[in-house]
Amino acid sequence: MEKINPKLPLSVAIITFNEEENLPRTLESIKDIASEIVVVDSHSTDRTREIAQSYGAKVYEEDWKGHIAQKNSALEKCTQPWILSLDADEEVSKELKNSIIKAINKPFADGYLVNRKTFHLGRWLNHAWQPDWKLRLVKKSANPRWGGYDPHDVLMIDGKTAKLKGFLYHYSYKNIEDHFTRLIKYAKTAANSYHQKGIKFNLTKLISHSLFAFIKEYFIKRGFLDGLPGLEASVGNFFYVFLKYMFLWEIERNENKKNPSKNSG
Amino acid sequence: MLSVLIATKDSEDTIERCLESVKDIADEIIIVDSGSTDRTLEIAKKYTDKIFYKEWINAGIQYNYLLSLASGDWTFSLDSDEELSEELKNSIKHVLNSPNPKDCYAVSRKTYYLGKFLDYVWYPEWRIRLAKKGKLKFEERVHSKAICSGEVGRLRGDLYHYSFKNLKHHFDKNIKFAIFMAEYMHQNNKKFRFSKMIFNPIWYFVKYYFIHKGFLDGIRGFIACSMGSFYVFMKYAFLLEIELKEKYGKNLWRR
Repeated sequence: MEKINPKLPLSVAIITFNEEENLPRTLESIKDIASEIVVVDSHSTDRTREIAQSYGAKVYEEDWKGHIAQKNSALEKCTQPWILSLDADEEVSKELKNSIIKAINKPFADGYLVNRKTFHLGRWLNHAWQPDWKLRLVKKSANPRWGGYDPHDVLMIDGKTAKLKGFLYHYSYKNIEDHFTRLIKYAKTAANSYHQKGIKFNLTKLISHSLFAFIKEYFIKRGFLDGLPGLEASVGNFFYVFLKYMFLWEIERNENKKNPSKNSG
Repeated sequence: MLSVLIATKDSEDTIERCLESVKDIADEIIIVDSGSTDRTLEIAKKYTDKIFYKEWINAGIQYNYLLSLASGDWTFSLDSDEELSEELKNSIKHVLNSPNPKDCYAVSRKTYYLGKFLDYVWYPEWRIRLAKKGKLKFEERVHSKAICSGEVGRLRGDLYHYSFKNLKHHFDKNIKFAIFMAEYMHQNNKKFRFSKMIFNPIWYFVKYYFIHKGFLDGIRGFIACSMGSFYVFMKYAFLLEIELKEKYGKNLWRR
């Protein structure tokens, strides 16, 4: 008889910090297909490392170097021909797991995108934040690396990509406070990245980009069909873009204050 | 004789400026702290030895306690992140020396926001702060109002308000306060309504940006009005979450 769910030549890479509540769900969803689990932990103070070890993961403790550098560090430690990169608040659905098994056994690309679906305020968001295609399953020989700018990291490869069937479940937030708190943190990080790239504040951009972020999520992608959770998610996007530009304004103001001569020229 | 009353909690960034502005006109300064862990009390001790402790429940309770400790025939109540302007100090002195003053006086607060004072948003905001002994009482609840049992006048001169260090500080403060208010509304049987979640934030912006002419404060006015409107939205979002939590329990954020 053929063995069901044999382990694949697959490494799963995860970075963690205090994820004891989420990590078991993530690891449960891939434990029977992954030959190797690599966890790079930035000094969790809860049971995260202990939980990872109980699933046979190779656990490394490293200082936090930013999303991109941290994820690259996890990537480099993977030894299998295929790598699946996951966040600790994600879970591979059964359908996605089957797609992964097929894609590795009979490859038709060098990397695969998966559609991430978010559980928000008591329901799955089917429209808002959908679809959310992310390159996550990659061939090690295709030179995978994380790039983009913090906090928006992007996995890249040299080679052909294809899409996989089945959702990557995403349990993003603990509560609305967590949503707002993280959104402002990300907005601040993104504003710093913008500033470093030389992007300038502009009130028209602030208003148009933030309103468009809302309209896109709520009307074009029909987030309204997700009810109040869809509205909350769409307004969250609006806040995020709005705050990003506000922080950019604040950064420029602080610089002008420190260096007034620069402004007078 | 004038007693100046201040409630503090981890106010090391603002308390010195506050005390400097009142030390010349105060005959006594009374501080009620609710457990500062920073340098607040160390700074306060340079200005007064009348420092007391009371656990924080709400501002009304804190200031009524302060009123009860005052020995002056006049009291001036202020927050640790406020500062008297020179003009306001002169007005207070003027009232104390006047032959037939009113029972209470309101002052207008002006907020310092991201490097400048806001001349339109949140201004003028009249609050009763100066009062004859026994004439003032604070409502003991959230958003407590000061109630004067007598005639109320108005003082010239601004009360400066330094409540936000930076944008993130403002937004974080808004999150905390929105949660607090949502819990308060829920306890008082206020129900979540979709229309309120949509229209109240918009109304807040329209009111302060257009009706109060916040646009004349430039980009700062725009940001301040937006932040206020986000606060209103978050308040209703948190109220919604509280109601949904009763329905879904643990399954609100996980399956």
